[in-house]
Amino acid sequence: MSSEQMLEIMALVDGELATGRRADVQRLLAADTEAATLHRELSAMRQVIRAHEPIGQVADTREFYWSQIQRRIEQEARAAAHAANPKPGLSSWLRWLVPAVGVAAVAVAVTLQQTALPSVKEVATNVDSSQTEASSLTYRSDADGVTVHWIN
Amino acid sequence: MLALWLSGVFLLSATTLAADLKLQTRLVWGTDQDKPPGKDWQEIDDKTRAKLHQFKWKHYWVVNQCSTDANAKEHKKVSLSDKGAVELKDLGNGNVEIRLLDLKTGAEPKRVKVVQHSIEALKKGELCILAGDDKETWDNAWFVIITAAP
Repeated sequence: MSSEQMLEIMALVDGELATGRRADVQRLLAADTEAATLHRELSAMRQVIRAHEPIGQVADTREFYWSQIQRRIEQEARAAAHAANPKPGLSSWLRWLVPAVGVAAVAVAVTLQQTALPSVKEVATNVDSSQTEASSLTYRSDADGVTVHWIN
Repeated sequence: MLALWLSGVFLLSATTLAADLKLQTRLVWGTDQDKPPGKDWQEIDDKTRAKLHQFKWKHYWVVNQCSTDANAKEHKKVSLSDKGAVELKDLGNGNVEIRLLDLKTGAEPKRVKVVQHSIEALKKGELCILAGDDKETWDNAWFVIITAAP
């Protein structure tokens, strides 16, 4: 018995043999004892396996079961994204804290500078515009010692 | 006697302080044009010109200038041209009030702008400048520069 004949006997047991080959394989089984023995053993083995194959029983419906799996997959994806780009925690606070401290430092520096140098308000003052008719922009340069009221 | 002497000292000091506030007012024309023929205008001094470096003009012609004693009693009017004037007054609180007036023939002077400036700052050499575009000549400007008189 050739390997090809053995494969055709296996296909016959599994029900996968082409219809056009079944008659020839059946003749072989009837004429060849070795082929018939192989067919018998394979059929018995198949019976045993089918009889004792564990069947998973799911209490949930099919749709609900797969939705659970899909949800689990999505959770895993979110967890992976979170690990790559962590949000809460100390690093998040630092991300806001560092620029906030920088802005506060600039504000303090400006305040101290304004304390040290006279402000426009201290040196030059626009009187209530309701008394006058022209609007103006006031520019002051401490370095040059110049206050300009540019009248529009 | 002592009280009379102290009063005299006080009055003398007050008079001296009041006399100290001598202000110089200059009307300046900022332009790229040369001095018009027939005008005896002078270029502004280098020290003041350096303080005007934010502005772009090639020339700053001093059209008119005068020194005035500002006091606390009244606004001293300084005519700069036939179109404009300023009024100066020592407010007695360390500031001088500067009123810019628009003079129009046959009408009451119109207040264009009123500002206050620190007298101490002016005495230190600071400039208080009222300025604006020249409405008659494109891309020129006028400046009224007030500082402590030298």
